[in-house]
Amino acid sequence: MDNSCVLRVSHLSQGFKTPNGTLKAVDDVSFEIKKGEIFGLVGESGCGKTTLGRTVIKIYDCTSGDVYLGSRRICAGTEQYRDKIAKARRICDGEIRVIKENQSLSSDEKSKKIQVLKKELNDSIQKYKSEIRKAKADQKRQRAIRQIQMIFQDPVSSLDPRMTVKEIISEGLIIGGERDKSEIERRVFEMLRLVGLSPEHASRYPHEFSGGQRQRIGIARALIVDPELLIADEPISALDVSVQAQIINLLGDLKDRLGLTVLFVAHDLSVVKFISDRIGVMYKGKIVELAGSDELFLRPMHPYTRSLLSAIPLPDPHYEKHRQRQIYDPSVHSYGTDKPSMKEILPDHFVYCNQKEFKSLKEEYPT
Amino acid sequence: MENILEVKNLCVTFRTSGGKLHAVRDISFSLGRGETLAIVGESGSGKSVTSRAILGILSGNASVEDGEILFCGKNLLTLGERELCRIRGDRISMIFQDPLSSLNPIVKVGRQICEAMLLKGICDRRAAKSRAIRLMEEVGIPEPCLSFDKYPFEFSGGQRQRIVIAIALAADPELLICDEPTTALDVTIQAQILELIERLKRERGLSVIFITHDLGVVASVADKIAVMYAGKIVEYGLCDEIFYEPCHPYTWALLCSTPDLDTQDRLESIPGVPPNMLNPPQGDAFAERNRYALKIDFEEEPPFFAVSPTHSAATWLLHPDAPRMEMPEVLRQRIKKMKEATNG
Repeated sequence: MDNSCVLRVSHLSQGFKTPNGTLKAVDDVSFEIKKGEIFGLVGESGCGKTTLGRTVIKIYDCTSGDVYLGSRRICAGTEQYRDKIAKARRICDGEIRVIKENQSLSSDEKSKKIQVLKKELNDSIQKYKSEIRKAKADQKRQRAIRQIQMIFQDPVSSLDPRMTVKEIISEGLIIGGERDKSEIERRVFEMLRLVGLSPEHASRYPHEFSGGQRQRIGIARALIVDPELLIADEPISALDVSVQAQIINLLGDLKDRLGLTVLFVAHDLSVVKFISDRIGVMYKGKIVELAGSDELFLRPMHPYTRSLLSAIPLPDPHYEKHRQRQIYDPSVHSYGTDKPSMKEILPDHFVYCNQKEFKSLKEEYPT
Repeated sequence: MENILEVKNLCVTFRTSGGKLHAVRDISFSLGRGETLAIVGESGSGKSVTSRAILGILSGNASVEDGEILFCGKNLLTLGERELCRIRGDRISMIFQDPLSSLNPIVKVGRQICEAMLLKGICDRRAAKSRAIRLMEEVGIPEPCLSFDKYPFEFSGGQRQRIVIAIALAADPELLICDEPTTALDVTIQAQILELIERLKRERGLSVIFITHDLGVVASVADKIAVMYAGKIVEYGLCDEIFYEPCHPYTWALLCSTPDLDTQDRLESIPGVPPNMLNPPQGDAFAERNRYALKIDFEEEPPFFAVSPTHSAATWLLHPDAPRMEMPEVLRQRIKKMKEATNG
């Protein structure tokens, strides 16, 4: 398998302005998705997993951090540079004050030193400003986004009821500049067959289909432009139990056949475990644990992951009746002075922890 | 055990522009005092319609064609609206799927909890308030005195569902119907709500009807399980019997189609979609999607075959003349593993 990285998210934050200040829905998140991999993102509602998916596809303008698709930067926030400018200004002001209060220097020397400092400050501000300009230019470049496609949760509201299936599926192709009618038709039919529908469905309208079939149409629409990355935002949670398995199997087959790379956002842990190669667990805007899917379920390390795993309902009455559910209490962490960050405990198994927790985890899981 | 609720041969149809829709077709079950019955099935299988028929809150185009619903020996279907009102909320109450849309957004939650007590004339305003605060404490709302004067939007999804449960318990019912109470919630919150319902049931001696599409959810709460498909109960039995010795191909398929934590291979999905209930198919409704379907499945509806005194399933596979069919290999492995885990 080619291990080149398709999507790289680094220090991404997404804030929303609310009457009570800024709400950080995604807070300094970094991860990579390799080619041909399904990356699962789990967490409870409101933890920011959907926001993360939407920021990557630029439905929102990200606040700070960068997102790279291949080697191109597709999302770039400006907040981090503004912060740096503000910080540089603060430091400079402080130093100037120190110089001014220094009695041993003559006024000439003082003004010289201050001038040097101000010049340094201006230079760095210029540097950050040019970064901001670059970021804004990258942010405006929409063309790359076509390489990312999305499948939405609700197959009813994500398809235009006034368009035929053919129009829905071919729209991306037409926007991409395809004019040849027979070619469009050929591609649409090919996609319909790929997702398990038949060409005669092309002239029908979405309401004539069942939920599972509609989700298949949504997948066909996403795949027709040959995307490098597919974002699936809870693609099965609106479907019936008996149909969910069909869609999961379809996604798995497509991955094998087309080498799809997928960012799979969901809250159903057993499904995520089944479909994903690697899993990121999100809690309150941060990824708290990141590991291969078997590894994560075998050795959950972060207390939140443990509590999440212990809450999975299983079709086994005896297990259920004796289940010990672990409750996550965020106050077990003492992040006052010892600040946490993502640390690698075992190869490819990252946990969001501080030095003290890192040490005890290292002892618990020696390599 | 004395039965608090008995449903006999219930048939419900809806008048639609396309004709008569057979939502519930001849179902019977009983619920003992202090017992939990889980009704499991996918959307459109008639599980919600059944529960609404019990409460008499079916929509205008519905009609109960046949059958009896005996609640403490009284047939609810023959009662007038006034008498039904006295039972509804008072002795039978219901929790709905979406906690946001079942609360009034512009009325403080405290008043919404008191409403039922005041309407039923159980107590006066002041007593109602203290009872409401006790109830909120019981369902696990933090700082109930402060929360009394809050609006629904100030609570999270799980808290809202707790408030809905408090409202349902306000008039001290004997029977609680939970219609997919955890579907809109996360796994952790879902586990909390299930534990809450279980605790309330134990403490108050409630009888519960629990409706869901997720078999995993009911394993912890159910005493009895009824699996519904296309308006019919296809398998009925004790919790352990359904999970460890399922007999109906639809139950097999349901259990197989959800991955558990050890699943590696392709999922065994159920092909096709549920039948259109405007014209229910002849024979077994599941036959079209059933890998194990026999010829007779397409011609004649299977009757209930008893597996044990408490366990029965409507499938021709259990007929003495039928060829012996084993449940899918995946499922057998899984059940074997579960049994080993229990014993070992």
